[in-house]
Amino acid sequence: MRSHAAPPIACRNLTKRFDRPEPAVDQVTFEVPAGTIVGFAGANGAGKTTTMRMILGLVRPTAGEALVDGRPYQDLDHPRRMVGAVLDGPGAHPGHTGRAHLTILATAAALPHPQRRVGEVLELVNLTEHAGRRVGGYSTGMLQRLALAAALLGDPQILILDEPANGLDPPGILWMRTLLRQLADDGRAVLVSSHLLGELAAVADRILIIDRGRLVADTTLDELVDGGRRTLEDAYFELAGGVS
Amino acid sequence: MTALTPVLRGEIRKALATPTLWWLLLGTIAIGVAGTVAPLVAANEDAADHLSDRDLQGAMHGAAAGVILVIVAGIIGMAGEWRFGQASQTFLTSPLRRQVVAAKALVYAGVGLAFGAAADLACTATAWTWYRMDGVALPVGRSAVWLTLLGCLAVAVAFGLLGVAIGAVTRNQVVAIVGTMAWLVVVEPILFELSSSVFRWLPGTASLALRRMPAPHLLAPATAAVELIVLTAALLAAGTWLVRRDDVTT
Repeated sequence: MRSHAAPPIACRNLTKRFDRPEPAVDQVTFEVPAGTIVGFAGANGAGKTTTMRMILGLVRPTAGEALVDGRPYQDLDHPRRMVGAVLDGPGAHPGHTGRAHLTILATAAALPHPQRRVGEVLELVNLTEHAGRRVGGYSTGMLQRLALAAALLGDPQILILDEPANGLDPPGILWMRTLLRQLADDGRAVLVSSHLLGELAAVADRILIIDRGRLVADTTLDELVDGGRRTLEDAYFELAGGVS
Repeated sequence: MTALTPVLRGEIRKALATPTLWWLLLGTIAIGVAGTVAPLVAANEDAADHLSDRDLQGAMHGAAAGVILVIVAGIIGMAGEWRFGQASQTFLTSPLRRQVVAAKALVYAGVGLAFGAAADLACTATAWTWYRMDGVALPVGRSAVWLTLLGCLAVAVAFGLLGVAIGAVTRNQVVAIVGTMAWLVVVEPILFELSSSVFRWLPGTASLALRRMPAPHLLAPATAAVELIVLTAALLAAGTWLVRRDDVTT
């Protein structure tokens, strides 16, 4: 049952074990409030992507729960209108055009006026000029923009973005920072992962740090850097350990 | 509009936007035409002999010679989701995974119907022209013609569903295509040669019976149809269960 007071994203004791004895994600608990950008930091393999996939219903938790607006993702009535996600590229067939890819998603999501909405998000991510080209010919930056366009298709209140800056050039990164800030200022909840600490420091209001599956920090950026007396990098290595 | 309708519409768009599908359609038609002409050339008989039920079935069942490509289309439609990372986006849009498998099954049954109809038409036009050049008319009203064409259509629909089912079970496009081709083209014919009474129940051999290939020891067409329905339903159920159970990590 949906609760109107429920936070946009809530994970409680979220745990995932794959085939190895040590858990990939170990009793992770956090919330992402509305109007906030929460940065999710951690080394490769620390558990960021698995956590995000559990929130999105793609990976089944071994224990605990991940809720979106108070419900498991699978129980959302119109998931694309509620949540937008970037996961490891756009997930498009290389033979499809960018426009066709977005139209397929908009159609399956039963979005009203799908063609118009596809045009709007293509414009938003500056891909209109390349919309008729096959995705197989896109550069890495264009693929990332297409993935963002797909995430924004349903004009969702919640965004879950796994390494969205990967492949973007410096103007693209700046553009994305501005976009994320606008989206959060509109009241949206944004969970964004990165292993680039500087990138997270530039956009996030709160920071989660995950290390070997365990959440070792869930605090504001200001608290984490101790009011500017240390860098995010220093705080990260203090909490998550040194170079492995 | 049911909850399945938008998923179905999305899957139809996805299939139509995939260039490979159109190449497979051309291949199905081309192989079907070749499968129609080959027995007529090999027969080397008087024109009147072409009008026997056996010769008519021999020519018309060739329409389904290329429908093996419908299985490939179904496999690509399902297992292809995991090849290019589409599965994540698909299940983010439609989190009820059984609906996605159901929609794909419907779409590729339709693809089979369209491919089968196109191959039937091309085969009929080819045979009609061939018979006319021999000075006889193709007796399209004879059951040996239309029942055979209907059987080819049924095989195409079954193969579309079978492709989706195999794709759902394996979720590995390359393994599924290579394995299925090897099974249907190499393994089954060898097994059938070894023991026709036992191995006529295998799906590829059953499909030859359904399309009324004039050969001894095959199942009756109706039995073959039931066997293909049961096999396809079982594989689809297994594939749906696996797709729902397993984590999507790509």
